[in-house]
Amino acid sequence: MLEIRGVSKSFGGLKALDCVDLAVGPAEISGLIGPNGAGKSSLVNVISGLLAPDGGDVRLEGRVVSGQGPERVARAGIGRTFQNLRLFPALTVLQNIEVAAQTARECRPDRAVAMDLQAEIAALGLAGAEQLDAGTLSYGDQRRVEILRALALCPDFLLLDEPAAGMNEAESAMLATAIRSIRDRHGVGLIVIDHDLHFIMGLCERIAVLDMGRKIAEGTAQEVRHDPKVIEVYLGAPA
Amino acid sequence: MDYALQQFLNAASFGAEYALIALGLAIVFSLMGLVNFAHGEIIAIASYAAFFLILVGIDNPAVVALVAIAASVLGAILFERVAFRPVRHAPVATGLLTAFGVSIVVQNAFLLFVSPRPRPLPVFGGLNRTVELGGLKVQLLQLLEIGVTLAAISALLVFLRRSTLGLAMRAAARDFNTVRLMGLRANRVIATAFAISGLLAGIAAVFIVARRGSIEPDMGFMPVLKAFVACVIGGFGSLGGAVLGGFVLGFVEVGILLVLPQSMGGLKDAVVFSLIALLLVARPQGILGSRVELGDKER
Ligand SMILES: Nc1ncnc2c1ncn2[C@@H]1O[C@H](COP(=O)(O)OP(=O)(O)OP(=O)(O)O)[C@@H](O)[C@H]1O
Ligand SMILES: [Mg+2]
Repeated sequence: MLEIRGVSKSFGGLKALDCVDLAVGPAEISGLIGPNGAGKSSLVNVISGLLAPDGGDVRLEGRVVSGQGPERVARAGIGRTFQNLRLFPALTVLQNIEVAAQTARECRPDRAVAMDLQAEIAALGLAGAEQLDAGTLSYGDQRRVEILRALALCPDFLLLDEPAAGMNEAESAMLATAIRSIRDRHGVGLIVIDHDLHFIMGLCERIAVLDMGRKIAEGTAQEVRHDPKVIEVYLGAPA
Repeated sequence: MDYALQQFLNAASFGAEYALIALGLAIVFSLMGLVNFAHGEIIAIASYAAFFLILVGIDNPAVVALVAIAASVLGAILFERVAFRPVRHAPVATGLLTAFGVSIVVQNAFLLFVSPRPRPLPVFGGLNRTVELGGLKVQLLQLLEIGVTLAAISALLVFLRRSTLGLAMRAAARDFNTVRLMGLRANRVIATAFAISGLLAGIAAVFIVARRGSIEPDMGFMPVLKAFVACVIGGFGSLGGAVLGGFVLGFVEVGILLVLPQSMGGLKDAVVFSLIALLLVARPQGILGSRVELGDKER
């Protein structure tokens, strides 16, 4: 269980997160949506340990992991990707993955042995690209490598920040299938952020909506779609 | 012909020494944005370790060299643990001041407990003999210096390309936070970088001591200043740049000595340091450019 409890974070005078609660169970795919600047990426930054929350905490299986630095969070079993790609561009695809896989072998050896990285690479359609420098790949492929790299941590939870950004409909449909398959095979719980509501509604069992740092709604796709506050925020967007 | 080769070896061996020291500066800078001016004291620690070994009667040059290098590795790790780790997240200027502080403390320790004056240390003097190589007379020290430096650089290259920790260090030089998000402990990566910088400085120290035949508390200052210039020439933080800059500096120095009339040889350093000034004017932000890192908004 991944629990975000009353997390707040300000940048100067700007409240990017205001007492946000969220819980994700094992093997659950949870969506996180909201307009630009709502605080979605900030929440992922807090969960993954890049930012220390001003208030509240993040717990993994009941243990506080927030405010202890990103390596602790990664070693505890939370992987993430980035909205603005953060691969190691000068390393090959395989080397990028290897940096994370090393941690998995150290911290969770049983899972690391069971993880067939070659099969995962193939499942995301990157077979043959292993020896290419990550920086030379297309954006879509880089996003997939980021997912693979995070998956190589053998995490219990994965945070995907706009994984389908820049992908066309067919590509994002394939990505949704791949994400579901990762969940099914590894029992990973996920938080998925995206602006593509069609993608999110099709993929996620539960959806939370952030606006101006506050969680304004949460529920199934059906519930969120008909929530007046959400409709107001999205101002007639096809929700 | 003989003369040209002699000058070439001269330049290359000076260049090798600067490259070794500059690499140590660069590897630490590339990871944490710290210009470690206490790097010279790591050279001094290696040299004084050799001095103490002689004092207690161990005088096998190979043993002394190995212990000296080990001492500089330990010294570098200790500097990081005691002095730099507490200020790791502080502004760049704080790290720089800390480095100067460490430098002053260590120099004064040698000054107080050993002597403010140079002390002779001829243990590596045997390296100064000339050897025949294909009919040419060359200095053993220069050959060793060039050879060992090239070997050390190659070994470092293999480490950075082949080992996972090396991969992580290469990645961390560009994006430390993402490496931490892959579960690599910042402390271990940084301690490794300091250990490597200490190793390279220790190797350089053996050659420096062999050449001067003496030690003194501030003996590390000039070499590190030169290494700093090498880093600036090559592009600060770039490992390849540090090596390149080291060799360029070596050749420029020897070249200047050849060009300047004998009576103006004393101007060599003035000319070289004018070079720093020019380069600092040309790219000021490349050296201590401030880094504000927050979340994933750092680029
Ligand atoms: N490191 C930072 N320093 C200062 N302000 C920040 C920082 N990170 C985020 N912010 C601000 O916090 C607010 C929330 O940003 P965040 O990136 O979390 O939004 P988001 O929901 O991910 O938006 P988008 O959909 O555009 O990705 C924004 O106003 C942003 O400018
Ligand atoms: Mg965002």
